[in-house]
Amino acid sequence: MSLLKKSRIYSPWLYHLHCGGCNGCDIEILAALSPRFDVERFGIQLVTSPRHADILLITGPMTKQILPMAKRVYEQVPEPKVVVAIGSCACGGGIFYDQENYAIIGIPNSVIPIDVYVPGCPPKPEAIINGIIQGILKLSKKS
Amino acid sequence: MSENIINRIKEIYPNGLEYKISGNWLIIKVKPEELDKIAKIMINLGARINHITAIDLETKGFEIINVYDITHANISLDNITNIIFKANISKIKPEYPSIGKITWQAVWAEKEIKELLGINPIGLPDSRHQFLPYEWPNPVESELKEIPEVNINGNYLQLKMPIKEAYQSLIPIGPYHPGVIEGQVVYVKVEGEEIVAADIKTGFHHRGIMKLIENRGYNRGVFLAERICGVCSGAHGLAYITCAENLFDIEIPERALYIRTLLAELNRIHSHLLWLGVVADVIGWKTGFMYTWGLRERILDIIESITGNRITYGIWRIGGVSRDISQEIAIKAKRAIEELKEEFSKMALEITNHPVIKSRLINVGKLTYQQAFNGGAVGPTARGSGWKIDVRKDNPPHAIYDQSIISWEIVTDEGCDSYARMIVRIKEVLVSTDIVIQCLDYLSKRSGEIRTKVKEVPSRIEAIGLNEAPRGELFYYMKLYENNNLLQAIRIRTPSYRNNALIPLMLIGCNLADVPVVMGSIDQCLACTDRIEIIRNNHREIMSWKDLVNLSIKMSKKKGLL
Repeated sequence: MSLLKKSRIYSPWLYHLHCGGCNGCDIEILAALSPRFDVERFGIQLVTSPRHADILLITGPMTKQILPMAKRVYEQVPEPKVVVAIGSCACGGGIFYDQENYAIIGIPNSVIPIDVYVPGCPPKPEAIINGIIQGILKLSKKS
Repeated sequence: MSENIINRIKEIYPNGLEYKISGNWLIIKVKPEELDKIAKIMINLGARINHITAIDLETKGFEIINVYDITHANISLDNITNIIFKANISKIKPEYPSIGKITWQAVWAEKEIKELLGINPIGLPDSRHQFLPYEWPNPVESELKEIPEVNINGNYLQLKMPIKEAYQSLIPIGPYHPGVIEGQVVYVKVEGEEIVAADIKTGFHHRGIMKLIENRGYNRGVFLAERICGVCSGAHGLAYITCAENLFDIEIPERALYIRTLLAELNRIHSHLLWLGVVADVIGWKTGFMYTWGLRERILDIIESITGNRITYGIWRIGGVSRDISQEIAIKAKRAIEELKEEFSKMALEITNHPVIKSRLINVGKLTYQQAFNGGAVGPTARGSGWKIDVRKDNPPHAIYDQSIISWEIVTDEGCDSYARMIVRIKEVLVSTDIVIQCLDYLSKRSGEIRTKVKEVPSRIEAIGLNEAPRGELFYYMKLYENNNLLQAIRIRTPSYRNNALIPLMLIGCNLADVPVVMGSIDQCLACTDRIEIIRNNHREIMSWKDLVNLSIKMSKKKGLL
């Protein structure tokens, strides 16, 4: 295993992309970083620029207005990258999904390829950590 | 008695077409041409605008609805808390004189009317898009020659610079920015480090919730209402059921009221702790973030033991609540909250005297009392400017907030800056823990019903419901069809929506580095703000029918089918 690959897998960096959710999942992601759950023990860190990230966390049902920006952020994350969808909305529209809803895409997978799904409204921090670990496993296969 | 009230309001405004009293609200039908005159009269009397909205009555045209809060005004109308002015306008010429030219409070609401329904408020000072999509051509360039500067006194000064030059010197912040978690764009115009003008564009989180609730009916809407905002989901749930229950004439069991108060206050504590952590993070004090978020987990544990969920409670029902709280849990929760209160008091002293906090928050984001009053600030933002308003006292939701039963008081601070707003929130956490302890005392000692059966047909066709969310006043308006039990319209006005309109004002005079702090200091929640707006497909990648046919032919040929 090369040094680069090893460091990528043992210390993946996250970028949190808010795509129009209700903030419920977002505060649970932050709770996963707080002392109780402490995701940093896996070497995971939240970064403020997508260009530094390995794993992209997506929340929310992907509103039509945020779509161009979300695509740009996705493109800015360097390869190899893994996308983890947090919450029912990011998995498939959730409670907001409706045939007549004019405002959301509903299925983010049609826009951004998603590797790991974490359902729940909102998922508990334990589930989010599990999802991130699954993402790391995928990352090790990709790199 | 009702005649007495009507006679008294006729002395103030005699030209109404119809006067009616419904519960605590006075409903007056007026001519649309008089709406701006009425606004002037009401504002001069010290009334506050709750919401200005409009409803599509299909073949009957549009109905403009202006709701005023008169609890702090110089009018005494016994038990009346709100006055609702209604005016019908035709669909052929949907126009009425703008209220935005009289008070800044109404500008964002009127922008919403204009975008949502296509009604034209004549004389609206800032008619640019607030919620339309990003890829739309900038309406400033087509409609307005110059950007109107935010001036809440009604005289809208114009920027001297032509629009092209003004934009060249602007710094855009967002929509994705490390300092702000949610998506929004703030344009700040700087001279060196100092901000001289600012503008805000929101609308990236619009999910069409009002339309969804209208489609699904008022019974199922509460679950959507809770998901308007995940941080203040409890406050949204309570406001929604308060509004829905106002349609009926029902008595809610006392125990249910106590459980509602308990959850609403736990929600407030968790939200304020979260806010403290976020502000600590924004100013670079990482320890503060970890500390407050560690404390917050204990509140979430209590909420989880009561409702089964951490974030969205899902126990709000029309006529009560769906889950009871056992004696064991109540006693355990009381012990936990007392410990938390002790630890938080120590932490509060540390935070308020911390040199980093003081240097970053004092005299940053100034908002004077007069500015807050004219601009229509709500919640801790208004109370941090010394304005003593609180919906829990003025227009109480359907929970126990009677000060003769539960002892609590409204917290205000005269500082008028970000630091004052922080002090208000810290004190409110302590007040809320007191309320929670009193509720748990009651719940652990007594038992009773938690839900009443609701009559099938509502007795009113329209109702308003208010609640004090952690960020300020939350307003719900519901209207049913006259001949059946279906929801015709629901209108929501959230606290961040009103405080956001004041951000450009607060930013002026600050340093560029203070922008995230000022925006953080009002506790923005954009998930709330952006629930309404119309999205139209004007994206370049959309294909016409012809393109699709061509593409499918191409693909079929590739696969060897044609």
